[in-house]
Amino acid sequence: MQASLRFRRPLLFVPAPLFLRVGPLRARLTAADASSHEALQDVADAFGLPDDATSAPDLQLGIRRAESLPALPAGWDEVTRYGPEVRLLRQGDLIVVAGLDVRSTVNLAAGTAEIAAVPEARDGSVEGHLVVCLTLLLRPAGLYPLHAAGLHAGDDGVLLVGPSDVGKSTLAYNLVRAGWSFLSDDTVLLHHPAGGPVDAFAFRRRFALDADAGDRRPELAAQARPLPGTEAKWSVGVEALYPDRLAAQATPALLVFPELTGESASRVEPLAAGDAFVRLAAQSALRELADAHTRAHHEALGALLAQCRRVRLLAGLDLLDAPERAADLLNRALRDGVPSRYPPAAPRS
Amino acid sequence: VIYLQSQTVLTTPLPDDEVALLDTVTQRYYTLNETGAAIWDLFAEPRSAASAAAMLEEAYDVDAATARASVQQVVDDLARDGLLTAVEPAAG
Repeated sequence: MQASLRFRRPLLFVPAPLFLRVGPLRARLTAADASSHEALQDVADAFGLPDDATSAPDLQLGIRRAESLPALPAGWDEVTRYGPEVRLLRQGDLIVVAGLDVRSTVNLAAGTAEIAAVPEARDGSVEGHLVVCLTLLLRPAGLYPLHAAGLHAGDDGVLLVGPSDVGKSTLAYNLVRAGWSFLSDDTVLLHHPAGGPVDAFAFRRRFALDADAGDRRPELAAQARPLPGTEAKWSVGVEALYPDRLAAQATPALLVFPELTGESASRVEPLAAGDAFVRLAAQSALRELADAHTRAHHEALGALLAQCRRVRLLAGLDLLDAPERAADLLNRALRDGVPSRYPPAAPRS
Repeated sequence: VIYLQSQTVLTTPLPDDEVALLDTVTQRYYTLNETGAAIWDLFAEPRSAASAAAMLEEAYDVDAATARASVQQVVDDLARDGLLTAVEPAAG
């Protein structure tokens, strides 16, 4: 009987697990089939740093293709919806992420997630579930995702915080060109160890840049591929262009909230703590879960504000064409603080 | 009327003595400046607006009329949105 099983096994494709470092945690990702493995590999390439398999993992994600999805549990609380298709249901430490073609079950206490996808599930759905499951599992470990580009200017961490399409990625890329190191153009993980400062860890590494960025920066074209689901963005491996600029961790000293103005020149203005807090909260993933981790999450945001200078960056057209301009403005904000307005308004003639 | 901070509000202290309040039911955020935060703190215990105004007057260099007006405005705003709950006075 055993000999027969051994004979059959090579007929099945069982991909090797992937081991990743995500912030200070170790994750083990397993796929039951080749197409699921491809999705895992894409997420692993974009969101984690390769790790060896010598230590026990803190988190485990498994993914498989299934002809039909598991039934939805009855009577669970609906926590939130992502668009019209994806619902997040919860009962205690168990969370179900229910989409049309993918269904995930997350066990927060065990640090595990199981993802089932129908064979025809779209790549974007599968990868979206992988990222949501990973994000859900990070929260009990005190890692809070923030929609922000993370950079390193000398010894100081800088976070560019804001919704999509305010220029975070373009600004971050320009700052990398100006000599800064980077953690992410889009999402960092905040971690607030007891008695220490709030740290930011790299999360998404591949940049999502406007497709027309290649017109201005020809070097991007070789590292770019279309971002699934959008024609307007490129996914760019900036670490291949600047291999010595990828940083895993930073201690933020400056919070920048960019806004596009359409004016010719950019400027920075200070931002009150309360205003900055509301903007941070709005860009914090999963804050709607409202559970035992909510207080610690909010205290981490408050501590982040306490350790950082805070500025609005009223980003003008000059930031697209003069990358040194952004570095100059933000270096001054780091070094000198921000007067009520910098640069000062031009005297009226 | 005796008011108390609602149990569904999560309070986060901020730099510059400001405070952020999250109504965990509506998921709405509120922020209070230094004065508002001082008034909010007073309602960690059940008390009336008049009692809070007297404590504010004592703790800060403000006259009674200013203290009353400041407290009343904050109490009206927070009670309207359910962040402060009207409670019965404690027995005894």
